[in-house]
Amino acid sequence: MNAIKIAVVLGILVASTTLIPVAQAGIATSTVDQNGTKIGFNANNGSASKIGTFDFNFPSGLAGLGFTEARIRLSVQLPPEAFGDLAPQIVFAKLGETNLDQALITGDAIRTDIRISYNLFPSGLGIVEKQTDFINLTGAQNLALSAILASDPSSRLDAWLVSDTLTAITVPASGEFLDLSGPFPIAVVTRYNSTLDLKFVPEPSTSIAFTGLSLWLLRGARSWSRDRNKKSAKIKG
Amino acid sequence: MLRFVRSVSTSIIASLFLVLSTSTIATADIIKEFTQQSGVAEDFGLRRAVYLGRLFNGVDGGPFRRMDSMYAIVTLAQATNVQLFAGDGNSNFDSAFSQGKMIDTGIRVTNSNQTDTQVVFVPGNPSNTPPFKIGVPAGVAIHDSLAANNRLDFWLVGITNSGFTVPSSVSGNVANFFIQFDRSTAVPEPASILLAGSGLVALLARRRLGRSS
Repeated sequence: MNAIKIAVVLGILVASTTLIPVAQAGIATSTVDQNGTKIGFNANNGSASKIGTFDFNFPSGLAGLGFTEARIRLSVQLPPEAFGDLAPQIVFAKLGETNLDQALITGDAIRTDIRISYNLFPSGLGIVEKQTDFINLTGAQNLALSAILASDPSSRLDAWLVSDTLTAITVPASGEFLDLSGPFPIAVVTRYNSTLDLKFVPEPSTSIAFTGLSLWLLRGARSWSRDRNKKSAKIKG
Repeated sequence: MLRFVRSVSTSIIASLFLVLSTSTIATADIIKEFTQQSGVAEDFGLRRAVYLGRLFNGVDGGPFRRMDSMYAIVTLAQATNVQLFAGDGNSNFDSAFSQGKMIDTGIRVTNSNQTDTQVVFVPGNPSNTPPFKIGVPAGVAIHDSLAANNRLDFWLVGITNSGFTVPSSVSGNVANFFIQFDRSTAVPEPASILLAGSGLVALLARRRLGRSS
């Protein structure tokens, strides 16, 4: 009887694991034009500059994915005091949020630990392109990020560069410089884009479920083995 | 009576002639230069000042008395009505301003598109726009500063904590600013004043002479 029970459970498990699409670890990448919009932040003591609206394509959907790390590349002008605790941070927000103070309270935006420091190479009093390393996302940041992405049918999010105290931060959509080589001065334009990378793995809850099932199966197998030993001992006795 | 009127009118015409002749003697020239923007900002709570840089090193006052008009081309972002100052001082704007060393040119700079770092031409491109007219007191003060120091320092100034930015480079390209002054002798010079004064003295003398006769 036990052998039949175990065989049925095994059959169900094997069938379920083959039918459920298993999420794989990977990196989702999105490159978009920089936006350049700047709004007040932290009750207008600081500023928030919109980097852009990033869109991600997850072929198997967001279900079962956990976001563990993120990094960003952007062109920015920062003041020299923007380092350490004053270095502005990246905030992920739902599309179209224009009041980040409120969005951070309601959970429509999440502040990450990704900081863009003046000292991050290359530094200078001008527009420079900076690329961060992958920075860990906490469990709460992961959940909020998943919720933000899930709120848009195309898995899009707005990324902002925020500072609680600094206002002289510019994330320009384009930058011009003056060309004085000709008879009359002319302005030469450069357009900027930014890249956001999100590192993801199968969600921990999925792993826990599979571990639990494995343990249950192991327990069943041991119990079956014990019963069989008892039966064989009785027969011998 | 007729003689008196004639003498008065003769004196007025003579004075006018003298004044007009001195104004036609007035000369003008153009000085222009560009250099890389410094981008160093100061904000001590009164205002936010960004140092642009120093131009016209070694240029003397010459026979000129004032700056008549100017063009300014600067690269900046997220600016609204930012003031352009010229004068003497490459650091601590507040101190230089309080000592009267910084002169408001009258130029105000605003980005037409607040999402971009732009090259802003004030009042427009020199190839097709008349220059910005500088007020007489400011024009005289700027020229006096140039004559005294043989150089001019330029600053962009906004309200404290204003978030405008002034780059020194734009993605590896040097961010320059450009200034052009049209300067002239169109302010009454000592010689002109003497000539006009002598005309008036002649007028008064003739009038007195007329009365006595």
